[in-house]
Amino acid sequence: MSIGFRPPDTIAWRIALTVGAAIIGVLVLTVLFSHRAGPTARETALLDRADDTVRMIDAASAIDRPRLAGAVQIESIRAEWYPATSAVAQLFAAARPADADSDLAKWFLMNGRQRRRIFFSSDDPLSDGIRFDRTQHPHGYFLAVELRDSSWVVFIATHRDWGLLQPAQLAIALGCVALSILAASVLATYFLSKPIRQFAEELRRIGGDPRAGPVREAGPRELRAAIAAFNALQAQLRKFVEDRTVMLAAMSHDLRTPLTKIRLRGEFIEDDDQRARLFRDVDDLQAMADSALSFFRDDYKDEEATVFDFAGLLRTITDDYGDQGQPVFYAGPDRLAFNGRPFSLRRACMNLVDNALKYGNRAELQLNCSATQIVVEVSDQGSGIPPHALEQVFAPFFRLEQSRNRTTGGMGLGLTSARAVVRAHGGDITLRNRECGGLQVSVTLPLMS
Amino acid sequence: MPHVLVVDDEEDIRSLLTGFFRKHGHEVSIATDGQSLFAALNVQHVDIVILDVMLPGEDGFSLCRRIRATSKVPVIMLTAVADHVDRVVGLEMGADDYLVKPFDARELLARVKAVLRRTTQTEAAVAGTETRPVLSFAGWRLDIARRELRSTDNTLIILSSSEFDLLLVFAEHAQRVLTRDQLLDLARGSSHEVYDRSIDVQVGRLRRKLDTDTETPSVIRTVRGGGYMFTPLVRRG
Repeated sequence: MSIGFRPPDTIAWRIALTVGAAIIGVLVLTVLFSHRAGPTARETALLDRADDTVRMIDAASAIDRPRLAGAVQIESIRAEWYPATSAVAQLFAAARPADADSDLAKWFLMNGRQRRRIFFSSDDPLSDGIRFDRTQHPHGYFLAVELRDSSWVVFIATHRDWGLLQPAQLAIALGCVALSILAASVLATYFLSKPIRQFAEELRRIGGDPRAGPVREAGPRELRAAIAAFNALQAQLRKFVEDRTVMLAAMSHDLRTPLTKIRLRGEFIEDDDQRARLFRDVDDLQAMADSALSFFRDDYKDEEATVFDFAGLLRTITDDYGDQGQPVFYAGPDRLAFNGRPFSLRRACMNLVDNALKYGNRAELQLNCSATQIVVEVSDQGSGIPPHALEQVFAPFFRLEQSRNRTTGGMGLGLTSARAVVRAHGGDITLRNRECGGLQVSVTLPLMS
Repeated sequence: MPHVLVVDDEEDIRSLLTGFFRKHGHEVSIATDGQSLFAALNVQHVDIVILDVMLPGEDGFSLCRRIRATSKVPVIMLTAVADHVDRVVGLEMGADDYLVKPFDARELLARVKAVLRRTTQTEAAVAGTETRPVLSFAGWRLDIARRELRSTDNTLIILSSSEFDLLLVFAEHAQRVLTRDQLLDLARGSSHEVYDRSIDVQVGRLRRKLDTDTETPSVIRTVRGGGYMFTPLVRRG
């Protein structure tokens, strides 16, 4: 071990530190509290001495009693004696006898019976006749105990300096423990879970993107090991995806040359109809290769964002489909400037229109704009999507049963890549079956400043 | 008879393109790589080069730059990668247009015609400008190489291929009355869809995209007696 000792930064060490801190906290609070709270009245033998005093005064003759009472000095408490005929004694006699304070039950017994006793403070009218310097001690406490001959001994405390009662002490002690445990938990959450939360946050940030960079290795040793393992796994995945992408790119690329030849040869076909069909087949093949490639490569990331007219984009799509005799309609503003990647968004919208035409016979485009976002709705008149599949359809290569006998190309990547493009713009695509039939696809795109 | 030089390493594509261009009245020479390309350029007059990007040895981008260093012959690049970056790189290297494989032979023919028309006009107007071909009119900017239309505030306006071609024809013939036949003729082939589409529909769509308000008269005026006129002044650059 080197000279400068550094505690191992492990989760175990952190737990030990946290638990230790919690226990020390509890101890410190307990000590502080017991210092403040002081011993209970019982523990100080205060009541024993008061009891003795009462017995002595009771045993003495009436003449000696004032002097005896005057001589009493139990810590800061002094005593007074009031004969039965005094106004004070008569007030006491009329007052409700002592509170049912069980704490005092064992004291002030006479022949096995409890003497009457009254406990009151200087706020109580009972204290009116008692000799007591109110100006100097505004908060006095009094215990009046009745003697055999209905005279009363009153103990006068100028301030309360004996401890709290047992239940209160217990409650406060429990409160202290609870408080320190709470503090320790908060600390534990902060110091122990923070790196884990950061790790989770990082994972969420990079999401399912295998091309994202590695997660920063931070936190205790065990977590760093986990992050390193995750990064290694991610690197492997990335390599795997890259290999596949390169392969697909090569395939897609190599397909282009023979497809170009087919197209060029097609120019020599005299039959216009056959030639057009051949070209359509070539286009379908190419579209399939392209959609797979663009899905695996996410080539929308290469396109630069620019301010473009979104309404014009949707209109152009509508016109293009209309020229091919497809029922596509647009409703919305004439112009709407939007900052984004026009080609990617155009392809995404075309994927949605293609789906609407394929499964819903027509596509109605509706563009709406608020202060913070634009919403493109693509509605069709098909049979919609069963509710359980509303999320599934976004999965790559997923196809609904009905689409097996499809007439046009496509690999089940349209919605997947459309959502990827829209999410890259900070928006999202949601699907909903319309009450009046058909599916409504909503594309929400936040307006970037 | 325009002379086309086809540069591609694929024997089949060379012969198919040769056949196609000959069928459409072009003279055709072929080259398989950089060396034969420059050999061909040195010995004969070539009106346009059709250059494949993926060539053995030196690639098309690099060859395009070398052609630009010595000659003004227009270049159309062919690539197998439908990639925006590739397209931009190609245009930066000085290519006049760019087509992605598999392309439509008629589309290529139309682009060849359009590029030839443009370059001869440009040479006639301002000999030897190095600037990117851009036309400006009434606050709009039409970037011919990128096939982009942008408004005064630099907002990109999405045009279909045939809309772009028609607008380009208008901008190149500004303040002249063009009949529907002339328009169809000039814009023809840039997109084979134009054949069966009414010019009036196209003009309507262009007006909707170009006319920002209903107060000012349209940039494309309908001329009584059958025709259209593009009214704004068009500047190059």
